[in-house]
Amino acid sequence: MNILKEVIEKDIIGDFTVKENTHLDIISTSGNLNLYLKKNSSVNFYILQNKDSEFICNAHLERDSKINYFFGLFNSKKFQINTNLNDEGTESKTQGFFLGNSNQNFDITTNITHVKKNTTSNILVKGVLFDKSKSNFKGKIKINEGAQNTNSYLSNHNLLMSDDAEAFSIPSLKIDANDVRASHGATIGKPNEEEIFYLMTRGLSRKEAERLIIKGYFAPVINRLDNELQTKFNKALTAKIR
Amino acid sequence: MTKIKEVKNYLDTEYKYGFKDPEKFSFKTKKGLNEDIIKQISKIKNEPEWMLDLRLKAYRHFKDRIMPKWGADLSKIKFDDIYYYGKPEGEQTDDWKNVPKDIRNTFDRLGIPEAEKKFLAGVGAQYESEVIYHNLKKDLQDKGVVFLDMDGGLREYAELVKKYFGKLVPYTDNKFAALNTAVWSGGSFIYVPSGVKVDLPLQAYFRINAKNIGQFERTLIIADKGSYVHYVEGCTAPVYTTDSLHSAVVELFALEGATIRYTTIQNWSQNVYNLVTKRASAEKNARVEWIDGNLGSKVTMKYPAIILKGEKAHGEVISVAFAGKNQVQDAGAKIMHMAPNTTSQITSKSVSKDGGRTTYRGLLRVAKGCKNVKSNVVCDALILDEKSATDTIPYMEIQENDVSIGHEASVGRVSEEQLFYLMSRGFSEEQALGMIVRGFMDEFVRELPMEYAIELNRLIELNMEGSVG
Repeated sequence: MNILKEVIEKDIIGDFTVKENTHLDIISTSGNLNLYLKKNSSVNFYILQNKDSEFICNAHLERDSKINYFFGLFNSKKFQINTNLNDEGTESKTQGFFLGNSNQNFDITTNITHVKKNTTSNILVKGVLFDKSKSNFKGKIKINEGAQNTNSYLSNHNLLMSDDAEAFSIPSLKIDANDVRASHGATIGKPNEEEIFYLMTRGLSRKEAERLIIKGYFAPVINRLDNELQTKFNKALTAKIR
Repeated sequence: MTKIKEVKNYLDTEYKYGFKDPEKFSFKTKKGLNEDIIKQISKIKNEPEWMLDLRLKAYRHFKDRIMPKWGADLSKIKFDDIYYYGKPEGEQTDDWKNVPKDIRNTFDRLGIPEAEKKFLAGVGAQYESEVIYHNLKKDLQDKGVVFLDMDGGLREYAELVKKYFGKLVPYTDNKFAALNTAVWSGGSFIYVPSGVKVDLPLQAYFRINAKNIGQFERTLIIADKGSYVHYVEGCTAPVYTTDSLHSAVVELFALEGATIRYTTIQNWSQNVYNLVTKRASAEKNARVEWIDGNLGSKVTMKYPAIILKGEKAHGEVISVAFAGKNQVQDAGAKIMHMAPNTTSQITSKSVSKDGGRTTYRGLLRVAKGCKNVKSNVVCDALILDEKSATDTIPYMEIQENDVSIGHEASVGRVSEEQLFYLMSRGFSEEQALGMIVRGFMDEFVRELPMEYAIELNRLIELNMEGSVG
């Protein structure tokens, strides 16, 4: 397998094709693109959005190809990924988080379409909202007729840190095949007071305790990244919740 | 897999209530709808002026309002081909003996008079547009419980009706609420005085008999402080090749500390469009439960709603849908938390087979400032064959942080392992499949009064006929 790594800090706009048997790492902040994954190729897509920008990606997967998204949104106008599992053996995994404060508004969409049988998808999106920030999450799993033996899961969890924060969540399922396992889960709530209390009895201030809990909340996402990216994401995270 | 397919062939629904009587009307409006017809309906009912005004306003709104662009396909409803009001012969009575013979036979076959004797506190039976039989146990009458048809309610309790009618579901709410407000007839009016507990359920039974007729009943239940009432409705119709329309509006007011439980077993024949608006408000410490079973109809669009207005109010919706061949069950629930310390639970279970489509469509809203709200939503769907489909569309709008909100949904099929396990214990494949489907719906069935639970289990068995026993 050919392994390529591409770091693009600017907008990525246009059509991109990943050749057969190739692995590609992409790091980006914003863009609007169509991504075509040829047979047996794979992509790790890292998106760190910290400007009020848009990111839209339409991915089309051919046989046995795989795409993994990792995203951290600190400031985002729009974030949308549409993934089409067009052939057997394709797989998509998405893990991401958003962190909002002041008057920020997050508009996040993840659409997954299982076009063919034997396809798998998994989406995990976690959010933390401070102050008057808002989120609007729409996540759709669509399983087309005949797309049997598919497995898909979507979950969206939100922590509201202030009285004025608002979370809207619409996780939906559209299922036209029967031999499937499709499920979604969503939770919205505030941080656990007992956890905060415990940390405070250990000498942390309330602020520090909250910060630690948020880091722990995002850890399952951030820990998946390699060292260099972990540092980058952690830096952005620390800067925001200071 | 192939074995399951074979079993599937047995699962053809046989509709037991498809028989019909000759059509005997003492009066029927002309086909279609216009302002004159509405004036005619209002005149027959000898209504106060304000009700006619409301009907006409609602009609104008209905005419201008576009069809909903979401949900099931409603484009085939021909509003001009429907009879909007049909009064069966005979007058309303509280003695089954006085009900015209054909109609009485119908209700006998549906088992209503017998059920009344055994376990109901009161019964209303609606045939086409009018309630033909109505009775409430004497001791409840003495306690001040009012159980009338809606027309009777308007005549005898005009002030109460004026205060509550259309306050939860205004005619501007949606196109079908407007239509209902314009042409409503029949339905139930219930008032339970403060502190009175109605131990046995009150039942209303809705029957459409004639072809191309619409049924537009209107129900209003007011449970005064600390009272309790359980209302059960059932509905059936004959099978026709042309479509009928059933469009009801139901408003429930649970005042402080009151409990209303509203159970529906909808089993319309498969040529009925069932487009119903149901909404409840719950004051402080009140409790509202919608137990909503949808087995019949061609298309159902119905999302029972609860507005939790007072502190510590609790709302619960248990919804079950069964979609067979050519059926669309677009059901769900809406809960609005408008006060602190309110709690709610939505449980939805659906089964689709033979190309049927089920949808869970729900809304959960927590308004700003409503602290310590807890809500949990669980939706499960079972798809029995590859032609069938299911959708889950839950909206969550949370404007407060001191809350605990959970939502879970899952879609799957009957697993080979479950079937295999039961078969290894000596059940046939058909029995095993029947058991699994009944077990899947158990949460709903458990909430029904005993007699209904048996009836529903029997209905499910009928729907799965050939697969069981």
